Amino acid sequence: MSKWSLFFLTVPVAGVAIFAAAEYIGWSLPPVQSTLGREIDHLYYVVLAITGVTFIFTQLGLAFLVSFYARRRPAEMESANPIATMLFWLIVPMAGFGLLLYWFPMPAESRLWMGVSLAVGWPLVLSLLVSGRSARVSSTAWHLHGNNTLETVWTIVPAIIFIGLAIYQYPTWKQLRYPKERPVDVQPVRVIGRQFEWRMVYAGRDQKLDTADDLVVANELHVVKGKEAWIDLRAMDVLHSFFLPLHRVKQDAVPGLTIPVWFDSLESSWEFQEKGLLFEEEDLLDPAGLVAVIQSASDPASAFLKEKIDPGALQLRASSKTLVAAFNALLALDSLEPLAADSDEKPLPLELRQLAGTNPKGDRRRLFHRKLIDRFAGDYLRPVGRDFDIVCAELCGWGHYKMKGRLFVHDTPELLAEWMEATARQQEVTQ
Amino acid sequence: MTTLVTSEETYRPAGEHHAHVDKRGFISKYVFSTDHKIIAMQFYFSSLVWLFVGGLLAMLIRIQLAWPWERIPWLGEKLFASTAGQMPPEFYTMLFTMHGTVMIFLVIIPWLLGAFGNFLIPLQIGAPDMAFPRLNMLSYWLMWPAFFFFASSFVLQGLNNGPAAGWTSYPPLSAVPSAAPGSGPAQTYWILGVTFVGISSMMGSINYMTTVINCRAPGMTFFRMPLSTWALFITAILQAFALPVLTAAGLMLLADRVIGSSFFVPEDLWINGEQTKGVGGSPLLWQHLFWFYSHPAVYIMILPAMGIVSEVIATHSRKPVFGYRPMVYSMISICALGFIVWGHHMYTSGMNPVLGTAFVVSTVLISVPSAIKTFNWLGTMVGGTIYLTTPMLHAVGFVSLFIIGGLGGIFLAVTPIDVQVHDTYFIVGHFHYVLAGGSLFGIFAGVTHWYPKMFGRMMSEFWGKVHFAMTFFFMNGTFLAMHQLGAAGMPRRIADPTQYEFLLHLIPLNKFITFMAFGMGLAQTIFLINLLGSLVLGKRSGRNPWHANSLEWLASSPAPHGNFESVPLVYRGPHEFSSPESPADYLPQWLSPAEVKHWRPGEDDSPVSNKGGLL
Amino acid sequence: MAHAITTEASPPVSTALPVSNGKLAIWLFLGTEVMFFTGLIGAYIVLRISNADTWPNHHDVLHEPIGAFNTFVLICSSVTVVLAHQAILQGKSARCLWLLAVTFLLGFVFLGVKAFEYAEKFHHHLLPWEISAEHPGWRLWSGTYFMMTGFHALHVLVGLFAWGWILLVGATVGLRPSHAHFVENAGIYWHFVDLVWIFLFPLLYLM
Repeated sequence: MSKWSLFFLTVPVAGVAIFAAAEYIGWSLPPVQSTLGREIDHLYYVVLAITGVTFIFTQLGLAFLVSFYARRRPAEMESANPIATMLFWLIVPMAGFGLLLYWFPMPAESRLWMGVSLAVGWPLVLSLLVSGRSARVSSTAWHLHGNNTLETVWTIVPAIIFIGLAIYQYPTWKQLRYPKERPVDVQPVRVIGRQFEWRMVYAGRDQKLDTADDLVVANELHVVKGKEAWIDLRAMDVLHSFFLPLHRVKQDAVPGLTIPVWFDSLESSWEFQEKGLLFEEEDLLDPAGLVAVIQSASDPASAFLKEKIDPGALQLRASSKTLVAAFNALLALDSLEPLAADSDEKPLPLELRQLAGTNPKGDRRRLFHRKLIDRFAGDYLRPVGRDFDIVCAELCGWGHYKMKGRLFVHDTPELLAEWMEATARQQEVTQ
Repeated sequence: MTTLVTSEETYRPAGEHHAHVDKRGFISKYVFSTDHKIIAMQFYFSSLVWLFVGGLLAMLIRIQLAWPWERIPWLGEKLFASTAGQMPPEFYTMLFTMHGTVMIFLVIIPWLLGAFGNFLIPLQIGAPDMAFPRLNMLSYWLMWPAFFFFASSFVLQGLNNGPAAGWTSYPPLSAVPSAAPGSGPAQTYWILGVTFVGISSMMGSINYMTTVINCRAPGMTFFRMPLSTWALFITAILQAFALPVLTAAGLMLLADRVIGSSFFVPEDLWINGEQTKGVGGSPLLWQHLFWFYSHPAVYIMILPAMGIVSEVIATHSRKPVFGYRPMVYSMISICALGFIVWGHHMYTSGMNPVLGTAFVVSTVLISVPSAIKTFNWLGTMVGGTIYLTTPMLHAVGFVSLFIIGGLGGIFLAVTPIDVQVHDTYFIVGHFHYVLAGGSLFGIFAGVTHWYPKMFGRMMSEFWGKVHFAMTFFFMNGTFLAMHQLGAAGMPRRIADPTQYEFLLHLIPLNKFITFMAFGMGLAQTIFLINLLGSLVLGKRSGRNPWHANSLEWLASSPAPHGNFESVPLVYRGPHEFSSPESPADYLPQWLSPAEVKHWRPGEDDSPVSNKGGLL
Repeated sequence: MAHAITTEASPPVSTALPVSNGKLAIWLFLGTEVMFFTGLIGAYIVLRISNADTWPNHHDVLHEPIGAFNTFVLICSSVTVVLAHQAILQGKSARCLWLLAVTFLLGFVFLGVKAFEYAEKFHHHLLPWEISAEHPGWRLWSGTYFMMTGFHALHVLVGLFAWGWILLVGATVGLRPSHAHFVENAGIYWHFVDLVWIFLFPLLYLM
């Protein structure tokens, strides 16, 4: 068996490993939040199955062919002094790589990482290249120009599969984007992309757009769970793209065009934030209970952050989104307000008890939230609740990366109306 | 000995008929040369330089993605003094724009078409030079204005104001100078650079098509041409008839910027608080025109690599290509279908959804010829006597990586899936597999396979294998998991993915990819040293070190001016390995049946050996 | 195929087309030019259809008789080119030279008329950057008009250079039968330039 075939074999192994593991470590499609999104995911897995099988067979076939048919040329001779040659090829390149590593600018941690990889990897590569020479000497190859039957088969079969795929995906695409009548009782939200924010215009009390009482809100789209939401997508300056990753919605916002987009939401924002938490209210008042809560959180994002928790010390080294979300869900948090500087150093459990025990609402709740985050701000923390992000997916300038909106899905139409009322009143005050 | 049926009018090679003593001076021999081989070298080495420029840009992109907004040691102080060593977002948008632009227009296309096209076509069809040698020379020198414009665009108004609209240059971002720091004069220079590359390519394509059609040696019928020639010929057709549309579009974009024509700028745009002067134009119009060329462009970038790989696999497996005619017909289908699939880049663009359905059909169909070719490459290896030389390893690597890239494309053909992964890292992973895995590995295979013919020396097999192993490993490490990043929703062209909560858990993966990318970059220095070092230190090679059959191996190594001592005559197909009619495992195209009887194979070649090495 | 026909019993034959390299190249080049003008004309059509309500009427911006005259001039020049090619094939190089001179003159007249039309646009402030955003159709018309006719005029100019060169050769060393190739190939190019105008004229002046 030729050593190179082992090398090529790593490809199907790594491919399968990554795609399989991806499902469990959050490296795949995020949890789906819309009905059509489920169909999109279904298509994704269908294609994954078809391509996955093809991938495995062809890559295994390739590795096998390399292994089975590799030959050694009769003219090959052994090296004059194998040990000296081996030492030379071991030491000289390592020295060279070492120098490069020393000189090439990079953060210190990665320098160490790369150094270790090279120190381990190079001898491995070398041993692979040296060992296991193919014992077979040359033989005569087949003088074969082809096979028409095979050609026909592997033309027709893929063609049938692909055309089948094209037909199979059509109903989903049709439902996704083919023009359809907007139901009369649905009022679209006008979403305008601009450098570098999303501007949402709601119809206001008179249920008509382009009137004096329109609500103009930046970066917040409010819809209702279970009901199909419609937006009229526009752009003010350059191309943007309205992307809701969890809802599987993406549509370019084109200046000069108004494009209708529709989607429904399977879960409300609160339900989404509570997801993955298996706890009772009492748990939150007890630090040990908090730790248990976080440790039982099952969504990948929280799972990743679990390592930040040191249960032994009964002190959280870092707050997690789950923690924050738990409190959000419990305490029905609104948007954040800046906090006056307060640098008290009391350990969390006491703070936690004090504030959580009062079951705070409104401003006190925000205070609590803020304290929590300030206490544990670190590498991977952001002072946000766990929301549905609106991402801009089309390059719109240097601020493209920070063009971030938030989709808020209300549980009932009444709650949405409540929010609209509150916003309308706020806008009247500021006008 | 054999009668030659030809006439002065029908066999029409341009330039001299025979190799002869070259009395020209240095400038006309090596600088303003009309010899296709020298012009090929000019393209070759220019592309090599730009490869490293493009690679450096990619390393900077990866640094930002792994450590967003962190102070970059040493380089940060030099480049970003005003932002305390931190990369500004304007710089980042310039990075990915120019990385794509440089790699596509100044590396892959010139290397495959300009270098390999120029070098191989006349040699493989038995002509002394191209049909129009002076046009050929002009086509290379017109790249220099392009080099000038692209290089200047970096520094015209400072690094933070370089072209920043993506290599796709979508308006209005690219059409309105005030829309972003990078949309100023640098974008105009970018358009001019693309225009000159376009003119150069079109000249080259017409030259290649005419040469292949009209200058083949006697007996070299179309179906006796090596597959690399076929691939280059079909690529030239694609390039010639798709590129003018991009040129027209680029000129229209220039007009929008300079004379206020508003082709692509709609009315009522407000940028930086000011209303722009656009009226009634259509950003979608640019996308249609752009992708009408740029989709064929991707086939332009892969077909020559496919041709090279077919050659290399056949030669180093000592077997004829499995299904030569199906391979040719597949390439022709890719060319034809390639013109009608461009809309699959625009599924979410706002174009009529019915068009989306139409493009799905054509897009899935174009996968069929690629599948046929892949099976044929595997079929070529079955029953072969495979020598795992450096070129062969790169060719096999190509097949492995192209399979991944091609299969990833199936996801993208299906519109609903594309809605989710468009403009995410899924796409970045996909196209890097076909471009870096496909085209680049094809280039490496071609470089190592034809090095003896180009320079008269052999490259180091050992370092070639080290380079291959490292590149293959690190390339997979860098780009395989990008499919996961994209499925998880990480958008592309984003300077800081940590802005979004749903992406936070992907940070370690981004760091891993960066380290893999560093490894891939480092590996290319080995390639560079091997390439340049072997020019002086490599073992001298004979005429036909690989014992191959096509006409270029009849010329000496390196080939002289005029290529062949006399007009070669062609008697059979180009991949007649292990033929029962031959005393050896190869049977060159140029040997007549009578000559075969007297032929002592290998007496004036030096077969490749690994004498003295570890392998 | 499983069987292999590797060697032919008959000797190798020439494989080229019965067309000279130059002629083949010109036809291929014209193919690319077709694609170039398709891009420009396609853009014009798309923009015109989507802005039909504000697009100016051709009466308001162009003089049809002038366009018609220019069309006639170009068609005549194509005729003279054909006659010139015939002449040189028959060995009548003096006649050929005269006909080429007429062609050159006609092309020159075309460009002169075009220059006059452009000057008119300049006087009436119909250049793209001069038209305000209140008249979107006019602005778009102006941009597309200048792009299409401008690049066409550039192609005519290139043709004039070709004719100028051969006239110079004819005037100095004299035309030889071997120049028939050049006249034919340049003539093919010139016919194409004429053909493009025959598309542009109705699109711009009559619709």
